Amino acid sequence: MKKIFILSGALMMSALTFTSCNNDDDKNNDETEFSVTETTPVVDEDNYSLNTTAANYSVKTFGESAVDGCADVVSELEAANAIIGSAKLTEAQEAYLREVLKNLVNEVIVPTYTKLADNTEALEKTLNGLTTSTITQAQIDEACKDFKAARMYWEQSEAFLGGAASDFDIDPTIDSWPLNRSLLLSYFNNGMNDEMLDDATILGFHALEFILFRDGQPRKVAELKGNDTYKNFENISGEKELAYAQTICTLLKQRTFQLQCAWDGGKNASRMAVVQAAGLDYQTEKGLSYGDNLVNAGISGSGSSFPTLKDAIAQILSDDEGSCVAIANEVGTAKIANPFSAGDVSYVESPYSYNSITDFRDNIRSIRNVWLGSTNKKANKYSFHTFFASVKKDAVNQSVEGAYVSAIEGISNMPSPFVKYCSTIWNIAFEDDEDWETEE
Amino acid sequence: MTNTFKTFAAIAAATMITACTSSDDAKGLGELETEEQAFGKATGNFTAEEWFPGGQLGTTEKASYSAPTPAVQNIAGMEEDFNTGEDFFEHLYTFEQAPRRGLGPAWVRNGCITCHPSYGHGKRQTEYRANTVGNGYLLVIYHPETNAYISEVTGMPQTQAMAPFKAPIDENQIQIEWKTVTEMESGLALTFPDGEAYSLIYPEVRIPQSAFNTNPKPTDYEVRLESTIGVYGTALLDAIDDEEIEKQWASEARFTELNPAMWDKEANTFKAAAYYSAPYNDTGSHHGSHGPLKRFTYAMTRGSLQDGAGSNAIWNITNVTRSDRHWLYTTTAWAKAQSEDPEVISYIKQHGSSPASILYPYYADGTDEGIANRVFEVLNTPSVAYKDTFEKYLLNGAPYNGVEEMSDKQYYQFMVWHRGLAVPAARNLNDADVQRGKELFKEIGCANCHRPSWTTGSDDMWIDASTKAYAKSIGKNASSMLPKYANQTIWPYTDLVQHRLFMANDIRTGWCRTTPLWGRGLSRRLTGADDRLHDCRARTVVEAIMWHGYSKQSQAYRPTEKFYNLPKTDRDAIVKFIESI
Repeated sequence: MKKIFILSGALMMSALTFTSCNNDDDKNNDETEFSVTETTPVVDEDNYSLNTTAANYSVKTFGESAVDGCADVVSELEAANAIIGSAKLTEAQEAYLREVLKNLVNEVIVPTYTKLADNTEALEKTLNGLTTSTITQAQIDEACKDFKAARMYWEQSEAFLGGAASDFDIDPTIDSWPLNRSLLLSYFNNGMNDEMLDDATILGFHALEFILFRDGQPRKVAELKGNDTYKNFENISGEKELAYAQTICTLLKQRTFQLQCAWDGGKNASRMAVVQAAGLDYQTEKGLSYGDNLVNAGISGSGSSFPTLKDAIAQILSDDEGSCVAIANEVGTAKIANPFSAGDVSYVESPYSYNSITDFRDNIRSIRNVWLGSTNKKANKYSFHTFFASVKKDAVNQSVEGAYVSAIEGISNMPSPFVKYCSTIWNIAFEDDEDWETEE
Repeated sequence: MTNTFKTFAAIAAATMITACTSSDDAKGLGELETEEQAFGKATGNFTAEEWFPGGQLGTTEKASYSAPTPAVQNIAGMEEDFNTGEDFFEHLYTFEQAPRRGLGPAWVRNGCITCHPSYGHGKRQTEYRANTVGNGYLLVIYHPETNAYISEVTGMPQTQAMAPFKAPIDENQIQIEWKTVTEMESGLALTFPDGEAYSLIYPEVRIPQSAFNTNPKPTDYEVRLESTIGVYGTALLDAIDDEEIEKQWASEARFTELNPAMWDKEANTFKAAAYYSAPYNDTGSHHGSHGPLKRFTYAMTRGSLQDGAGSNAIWNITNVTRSDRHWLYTTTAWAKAQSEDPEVISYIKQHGSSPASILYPYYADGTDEGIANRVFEVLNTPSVAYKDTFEKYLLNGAPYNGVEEMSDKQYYQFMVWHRGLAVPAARNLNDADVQRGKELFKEIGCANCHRPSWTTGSDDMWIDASTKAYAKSIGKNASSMLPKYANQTIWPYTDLVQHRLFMANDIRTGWCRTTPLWGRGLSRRLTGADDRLHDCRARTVVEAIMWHGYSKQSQAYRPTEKFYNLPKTDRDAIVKFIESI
């Protein structure tokens, strides 16, 4: 019963376009069937080469393109949301959009948080296998690899910070920066207790980053076997630092488990047990999982915090906090603009691993994943992409997808590392030091 | 829920099957039709304006506590400063790592967001942990006979300090016990006449004397909690003329007793103490003989947002100093205790000799006596009178070397953000229940104190020295650099008057400013929680309302009694109205 037809106006769509009505390729949605127009989305490349051409570091247009690209993502997604928000949705459209949210939870949010949790667990395992007497450079390199993998999934989750991450204040808890190095130093000097590990300024990704990386490279094994060489840390042993990394990685892992369990309702029993043992919340105030809270938006008596389906869609696409628009805005107007446009290099977020450009790109990829309802760059049958293709608004797809691809390309084209690029633009001495001075 | 959904889906599926068998490819999901929007139009007993509680210049159409106002967006370049300013609110502070230097030697929280989770009201806590994001509580420690704060610790007490100093209060010893009301003093039952029950809880907080690391230690004190409220819309309240607020107080003075610390009953006017002034700036002469009328905080202690609760908090909560705050938020009793503590002295002796160390300012000549004297000298700088000492050791000396923790430009950006936070638009005003709720809210007397609407004045605000200095440095006029909200009709639902509710374990002094209700209905959605009242004792809107009737002495007893006697549908309508405005 499959009927293929050509959709006029699908200018940028390279592959076939068809209406899918058949049941045989539909695994997830037994109860509903929709006649949709599936088209091939415009997506970014998997890999971009680093821009390290010496002459480019003083060229401003690279950064400007990245900032402009993010601004376009913001305006296109706001426009897309406004189209849904102002529409008188038919029952079929509304039922379909609910499937889009369901698919988003099952195919993007839960898998991303699961991979974040998997990789943080792997990092913990790697770190726990280390002892300073026998540690090798290969082992440190492995830990750094685990760190970057976990970091990637965290950055790829920032388009959906709304919900569990926001309600449980996860972002300030695991991604606080800059690292409060003086506090960390005094803790190394004093010894630690559990209470000290409540202070998020010495926890999370950036504390681990400081222990594992320097100047964009994995730490030298000699430092971890002996003492640190960082200013003021010269009396701190690698043994203490490693023990600290092990401790805080476990805390980070608990929070990643919390995100996964909060969204999927605790399907992974052993992870749920860890969350509960750590005393962490994992439900909405009304006792729902965050997946159910989203999917049941607007359903009377469900306990969802969203009064309407459109409110839930706005939270995903364009709300001021925790949405696709919010992260695009933050990348463009804060993460890039503060160091690049305003010349304050202290705003570079990942100064020890030089991971900034990768982080920004992964943030925009999280928007792509939400839009396509997948993590494989293919548009899911239940996605915002397929929705707009099916309601004959393919121009929306072209605009949104064109914008995120431009933003990703703009970000990738910036000279690397980002901190060196900004330092060069603003003529600030480029060194890994705590005291990046602004020049204004 | 599941059943509803399945039915729904079944209908949709049936539609689809038709679509697939049809040769007409316009079926399927079909095209999008535009829906007629109720938003922004007069509806029932609401005017079109009421969709915009912050007025045209102060409302965001997004469901948000963090969005910029049109007043910010209308001025080219201002949103960039807003975005940078936002960063100071959203992220945590460190001792000395740019761009967020602050903290030390003692602090209340390590970031603004810690107390204002997702920009909203603090969340109810069962223990006091300064590092728990969402704990919006300040400890209020005072002498019950005089209602005066104890002097041994700061008015907003600190439970965090940098090593080796010991925090003024050891938070491990703070106990918060939640008690359940078994009987309302007023005699109202804990069950509505139609049988629906409600339950009221309240905190009892104890801090043993042993928790205080001060010399002397305090005696004869009680402890209360005061939680943060949302930050949005405060600039609009700031833009209301003092005279308009005075009219409101005068009109209420005819019927009820007003706070004698603020209001001169005989003269039927504000007392001098109702106007804000500070020894470290010129707020006191903003209106010639007096400063701006106090209007912020439960106790109405601050006027002018530029020296208001947030402006002050970034200094004394996270301890971020700036050019007009060159002293410490500390007490002599704490400085003395630290200077007498042998562990403090020996640690500084061991770790403070390097000019790169943050303990260097306390090191002096490195002798026990020298360190002890210097610790006292540096920590005992609790007012502007100690500016020179502060500047010598904690600004110009190593390791600070003259760098302000927050530059004038950064403070300006912070104020653009603070003054630029929009009130979220109202919702569901076209709903019949909401319209019924509005009618009842007025009819039973809620609106007497939760005054629906105000019109702002010309918004000729007081401008702080940091903003002026930054304006001068870039050759601009400071008075045109901050977002302004002149002549806006706004709907905050507060009379900006203090009232007394006589609740169990009531707020210090008993007088509490009527809290604005605008935007509160989004709290659960935006912050994950919906705790209300000054110490988060109310878990729902109904509980918040019923606390107003705990005592017959409450100035809100009569309306609460009427609410209590309403049928459930009417009670629900009032709640729905409050959640929509």
